[in-house]
This record gives sequence, C-alpha cells and structure tokens, in this order.
Amino acid sequence: MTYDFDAMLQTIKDKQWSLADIDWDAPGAETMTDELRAKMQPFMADLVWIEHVGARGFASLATKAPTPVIREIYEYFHAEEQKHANAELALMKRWGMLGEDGQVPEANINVRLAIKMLDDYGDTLPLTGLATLIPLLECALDGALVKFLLEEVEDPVCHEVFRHINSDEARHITVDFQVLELIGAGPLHRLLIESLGNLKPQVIIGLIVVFTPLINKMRDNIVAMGLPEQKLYNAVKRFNTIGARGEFTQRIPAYHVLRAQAAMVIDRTSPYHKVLADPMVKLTSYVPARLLGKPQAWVDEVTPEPTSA
Amino acid sequence: MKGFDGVLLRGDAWREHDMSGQRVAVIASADEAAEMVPFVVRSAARVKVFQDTPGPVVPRALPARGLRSTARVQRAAAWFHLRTTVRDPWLRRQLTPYVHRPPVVRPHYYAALQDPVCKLYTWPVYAVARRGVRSAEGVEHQVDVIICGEGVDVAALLKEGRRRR
Repeated sequence: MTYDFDAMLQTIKDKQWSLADIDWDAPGAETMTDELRAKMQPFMADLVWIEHVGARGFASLATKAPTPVIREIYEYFHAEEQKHANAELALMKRWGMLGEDGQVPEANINVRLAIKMLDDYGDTLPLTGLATLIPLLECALDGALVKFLLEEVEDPVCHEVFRHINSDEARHITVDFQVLELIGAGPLHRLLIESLGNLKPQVIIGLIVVFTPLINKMRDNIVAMGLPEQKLYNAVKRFNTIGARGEFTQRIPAYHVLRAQAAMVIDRTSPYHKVLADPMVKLTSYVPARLLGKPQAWVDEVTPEPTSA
Repeated sequence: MKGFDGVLLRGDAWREHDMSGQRVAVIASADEAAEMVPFVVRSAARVKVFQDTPGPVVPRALPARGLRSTARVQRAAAWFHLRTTVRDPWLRRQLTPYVHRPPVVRPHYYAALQDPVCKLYTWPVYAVARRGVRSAEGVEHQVDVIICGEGVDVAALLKEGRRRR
C-alpha cells in the first residue's frame, strides 16, 4: 500500500508548536541540583548540537526530495530539528547552564567535523546515502539521548518540552523509513547507479572520520555519566528493526552498509571498536578546531529565546 | 486585521503603505519576495523575509530571444548572478534554486537581502499570532506589519494563531 505523504504533511502542519507556548518560568527548575547540573551540562550541549546538525541534514535532503510533498515535509523537519535545538537551549538557560552571558556552548570536535562535512559536501551527497544515514542518526543519537534525559530530570517543563519533541521525532522516523521504502521500490539499476555515486571519497572519509567517532564519542559521554551504554545500543537496534519491517528498504545497498556498521556499533566485542572507532575518537580529539575554518552562518541560528523582535 | 495587533497587507497594498521605522515580515513566494523586499528595505527599521522554495533571479532580461528559451543559459545566468552578488555562503545556499523554473528579473533583490536591516528565513510560517509570525523553528517573530504574497492562506494562518492563544 502506498504511504499517504499528503496526510502526513497535514499532520505535521497541525502539530506545530512554538517555544512561546511553554511557560519557561514555571516551577520545577529548582529540581536541577548543582550536582546534576554539572553532570548534565556537557550532555545537553551535545544534544543541542546534534539536533542543530540534524537540521542541516534535512536542509540537504529537501533539495533532493523525490516529490514536492516530501520536499515540503523535509523543509518542516529542517525547521523542527532547529526548534528542538532551540528548546533544549532554552532548557539549558532555565537550568542556569549557559553562564552569565547566555553564550551558546561550544560544539565538541566531532560535531565540528560533522558541521564541516555538511558545509562542504552535504548538498552533493546522493539521496540514497543521506536518506539512509539520517534515520540511523535519529534512532541512535536522538532516541538514546532523549530517553536518558527524561529518566534523569524531574523538571515538569523538561517533560512538557520532550513530549513535543518525541511526538515530532516519531513523525521524522516514520517519514524517514517511508522515504526509504519509496526509494527502494524504484528500478534496481537506478539504485545501483546511485549507490555507486555514494562511493565518493568524501562519503567514505565522512563515515570513518565523522560518523564513526561521533557515535562512539556519544557512547563515551553516556558511560561517563554512569549510564549503561546498552541504552544507546538499544536505540541503534531500532534502525535495524524498523528497516526490516519494510518491503523495499532492503533493496537499498546504502541501508545494508549502514546496518552492518550499526551491528558493529552495538557489538562491544567487535574489532570495529578496538581497531577503528575508539582510535578515531582519540585521533579526532587532537584535531585543532581552527583547522576546520569558520562554519557557515547556519550554526549561529540557534537561540533559546521564544520571541524575536 | 482581527487576530493580529499590527497591520496585515495583502495584494498590492504594500506599495502604498508607509513602513518608516517599522518592523516588517514578508511572507511570500521567492518571485513575490524579490519584488517586495527592495521596496520595503528602503524605509523599514527591520525586515524579516519568510521565503518559500528559492527561485532563480537575474539582474536583467536575457538579450536574445532564442537564448531566453534555453533553460541551461537561464540557469547559468542566475547562478552567476547569485555567485557574484551574494558573499555569505549560507545565504547563497538558502537562495540557490533546487527546483527549475524560469528566472525572474529583479536587479535589487540580493542587495536588499544583504542590507543590515534585512534577514532571510526559509522556515515555514504556520501561524499569525497577536504580535507576529510563528514559524516552524519555534520562534515568534514580533513585527508591526506583515505583508503576505498572493499564495499565502492568511485566514488559515490567523486561525492557527487564534487556536494556539
């Protein structure tokens, strides 16, 4: 049965929300203890940046969308990921995590590498590659991090914000996989040609230097906060589970490549960690951020303010 | 207009309205925005342009009749104009067309967008609230004047604004 993208677009429009809908001064901020604040600050900073980078990914996808309706959906998703980053930054502000000057926290080096990759190559990556990578990132990073946050934090405003975010993310994941179904149902020769197009040096280097350490770094952060890494692995497993439900997704070679990588990510005994991922985390930690140059202006768009004059 | 405390302009009404010192939001297609924005930027204190899918813009009409019908030449001319006029790479990226359609002739659009009082947003607008425009990145952009293009469903935006009050 063909998926009704028009109905999904209408639902997305109907479910829009704004930071101005939330009472950011409501009681509950006091539940954030000094100890928890110190523990959560780097985690929240990572989360904000991952949403922000995800937004940029959807901006690239919009330019390659297979239909006008899917393009419009991606334009909304681009904005919604930005909204999630804004809302999470507003939570950081509420919890006193932004410092006196309200400065947006610095992105870590792995996020900076992802930004560089998107700035330089984001719009030239083929649809099949990007459309497969984004749901994996959404399942892995967003899913795991958001669940962790709700378990750790009592503040009712945080729970209100994440009710909205989770509802948006559920639609993102649904559309992501339905688009994979649509792409997978296309002629096999086109899939193969597009897949060969994915074999560009920037894609392969991107997977090894950007994506691999990004996900392992996140695991390190989760473990450092005393959380079982199994939470992240369960989230990664969703990529495989949801993809396996589809009739045509499995015809996409890029899906198999990323699924194989996801399987290695969740197997801690795999040589992938010892030989590739963990050394890449260490290696990238030595990359001076200034070597990456000035990121494009979209990185400055994130704001904790519900209104703008 | 009921539902918005400021002035909401439709059709050609923006041509007659004095926007001196006002904060203005323009919600329009790329072609309409390219016509409105240079005019608005001249007098307004702040201009926020909410433009949907970007379209090609050229500074003047292509000379030869035969050339005008050649899609490749049109695309090249629009690309060259964008590449040489807009310096910021992200703004250029926001203005790069990804759906092919014939270019519009607007010599001052890119200069107007780069005016310090002007900012381009590509976020979809989903509601007009009492104090301004709400777009899908979750921010309420508070303005005194809203100019809507022909294709904008103003009634639906106002209804959404009232529903969320």
